[in-house]
Amino acid sequence: MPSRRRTLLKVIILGDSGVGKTSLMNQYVNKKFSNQYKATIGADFLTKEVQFEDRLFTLQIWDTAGQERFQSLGVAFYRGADCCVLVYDVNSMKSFDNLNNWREEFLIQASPSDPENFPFVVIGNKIDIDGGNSRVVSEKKARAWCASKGNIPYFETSAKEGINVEEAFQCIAKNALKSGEEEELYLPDTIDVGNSSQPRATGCEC
Amino acid sequence: MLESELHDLSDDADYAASQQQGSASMMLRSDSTKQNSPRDGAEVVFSKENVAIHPTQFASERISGRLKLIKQSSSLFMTWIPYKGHSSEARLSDNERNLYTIRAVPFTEIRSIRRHTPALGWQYIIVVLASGLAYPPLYFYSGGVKEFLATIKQHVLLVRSEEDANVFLVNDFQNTLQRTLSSLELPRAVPLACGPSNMSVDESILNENQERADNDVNNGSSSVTHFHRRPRQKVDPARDISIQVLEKFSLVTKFARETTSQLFRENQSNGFSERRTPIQTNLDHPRRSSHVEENTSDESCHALDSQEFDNLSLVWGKPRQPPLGSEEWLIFLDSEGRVTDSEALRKRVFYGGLDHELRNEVWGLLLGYYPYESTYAEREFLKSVKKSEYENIKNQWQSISSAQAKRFTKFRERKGLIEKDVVRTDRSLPFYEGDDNPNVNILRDILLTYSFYNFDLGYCQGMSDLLSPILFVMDDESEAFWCFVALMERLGPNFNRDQNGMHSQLFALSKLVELLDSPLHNYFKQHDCLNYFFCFRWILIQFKREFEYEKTMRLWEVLWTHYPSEHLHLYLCVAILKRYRGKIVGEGMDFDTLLKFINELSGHIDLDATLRDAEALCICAGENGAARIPPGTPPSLPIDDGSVYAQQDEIL
Repeated sequence: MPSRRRTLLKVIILGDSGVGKTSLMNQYVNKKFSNQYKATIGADFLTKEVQFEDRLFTLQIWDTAGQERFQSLGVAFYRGADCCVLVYDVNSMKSFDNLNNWREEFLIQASPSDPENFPFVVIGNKIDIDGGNSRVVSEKKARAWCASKGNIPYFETSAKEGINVEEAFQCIAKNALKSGEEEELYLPDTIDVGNSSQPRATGCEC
Repeated sequence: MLESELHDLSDDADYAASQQQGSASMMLRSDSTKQNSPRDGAEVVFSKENVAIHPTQFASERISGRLKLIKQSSSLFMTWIPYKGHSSEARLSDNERNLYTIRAVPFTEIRSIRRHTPALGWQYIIVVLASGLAYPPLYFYSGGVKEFLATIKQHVLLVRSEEDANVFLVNDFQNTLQRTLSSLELPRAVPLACGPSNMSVDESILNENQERADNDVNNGSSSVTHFHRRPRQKVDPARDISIQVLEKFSLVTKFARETTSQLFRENQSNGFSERRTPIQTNLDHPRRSSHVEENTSDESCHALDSQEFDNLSLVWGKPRQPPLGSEEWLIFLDSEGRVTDSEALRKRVFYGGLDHELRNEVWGLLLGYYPYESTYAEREFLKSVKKSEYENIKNQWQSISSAQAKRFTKFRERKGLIEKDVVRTDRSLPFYEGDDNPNVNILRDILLTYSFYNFDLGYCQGMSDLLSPILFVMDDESEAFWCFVALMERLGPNFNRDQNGMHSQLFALSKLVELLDSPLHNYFKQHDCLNYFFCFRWILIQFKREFEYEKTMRLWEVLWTHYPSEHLHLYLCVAILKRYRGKIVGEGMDFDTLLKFINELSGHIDLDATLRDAEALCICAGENGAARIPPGTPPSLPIDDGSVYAQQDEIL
């Protein structure tokens, strides 16, 4: 029986207010889009079962409030994250400029064991708006920033139209899984042996 | 039906008689200043502070005082003197205070003392006199019932009733019960719970309580349901007498009657079920009978840890009333429109809320925008003055040209943030729905104007949630703005950059749960949940996302009365958590699961029941609760106005 640590993958979605964090999460999990989402207060999460190489995982996707003022809450929500998704709106330069703040804030508050290699994924959302004519952040610019931060995977999506959302989250899940496994190697103590009827080495084979 | 709020005893012949009797037999002047200097050999053998009565059915109205046992030669006397001018007490005149004062009553005139330990709440006693009269229940807010009884036992013959271990008969030389029965010439006591025949005034209350009790039973352990099907096997005369006595003579108030009938029901269920609280067996269990426990305030709180939380509202929480309507509203106003008794109004709104049509007129008063003592004309005048003041502030940002805005990043960003939020605030409501809805624009204008009025605080997410119902109710831009300003005077710190308002409320909440539900507190502690972030949304926007719109407005007007506490919303949090403690602990929820669970409670919380529970918890916690809330915690007005919204390094 695999331990909880191995089956639950925790993902945090961060980014400025109104870039579409809740919409992305809902599009991925529920395949739905609504114009009526309310601003997220506090935090919430959705879960989705994902399969990799015959193994089932629960992806726990955390949606948080986007206003900077609420960042002090992060410490409670970010801990134990396996992957962090940074979202910006391709029609808003400020939301892109803020990616760096979000990334740094996350690393400070989540304090992952290996910050250099902690997996991030960047999403440029709302590519559908105005047929792309109101776009102010070019893909090139975004990719350049991602490259400079240790080759962060980059996706451009439309949560409204469901474009590229599945692909982005596939990548997110894969990275989270990798991160989880690495963490296991580094921190074997976090394995919950109490719940495991078999030695760890063979646990994942079940 | 508007219930009479204060049960005036001055016209009560029975009470007057008892007072006379009391003075006639009074041998001591129990003036509090002279109590400690024995005179004529009088000696205070027992003294207990914070023993209180509840003069009305409103649990929040209590009169605290000092209970004493005084020994003079071979006689023992009991006195209870209310404190004078106690700030936290209900407003009671000296006359009323005198009315309830128990001047030295000799134990030769006391028939029995009934001790009662509610599942939740404070222990109290009912003293029944030989004449058949009974004093209102005396609540021991600082514990000490056991010590009280022990002291009596040292001086007079005190025998525990064979029928009921909680009834102590005084000077019981022979069959006191029969003697009492015959002396009272009462018919065989009829158990109240079986047929509340003489409860006309409180019938609705009782019925409602009974319904609730039934519901609770159905939801609760199955052992109690047996009781309802089984016939009573044994009638306890002592218990029946005390109830009968309380009923027969209207010395006790409605509230006492409620508690007494509840007491009766609880006893019945105790007789037939296993749902006993530990404290009820206090004297029978040596391991639980130490003095220390009884004398600390924590001991009283221990009772609150009981599983039988739902019973609490039966004892304490007053049934909700219908909302205040237009006709009744006029009663609160003088001919020129002044609210003559703002406390009575606040109390009325607390227990029932407002008819929607009245909200427009009353919210401004509740929020403190209009003074209660203002006349119709003064309010109209204020309205026009404030309207032009609003226009002036609004003009500050309206006059920003696009060229200026280009060079004014902070303004653009603030405006952008507000625009993003207003288009996703309550858009499914007819008032805000549809494209180009003018009310959405008004929402934006008010928020932007507010961010100029209070530039340091600016705009923060959640504000649009708070403004939305206010604009809906006021239906006037300037009026909505000023009501919002008044609300933000109290809730502003919730939105502060350092989140200090939120942190102090979450801290206070953890302290209140520690006080009112220590098992849950311990559970949260073990599971690393003491930051209470899962209650963040509840507190930040005052449960706006947890209830449907109408219920939110009801809750808010109730909270804005600040009756019985400014921080009732925190007790509301405790009440909900307490209600679901079984599930939370039973399912072993960790922080994540708990947060999800709390978020998904949205739309499933019974407002009226929760308000009653919250009121009950607030009353039970009393000053112990208030002491756990740091000064200045929203919605208390900030302590230091100067530096509330001190600017820090942030862009918006």
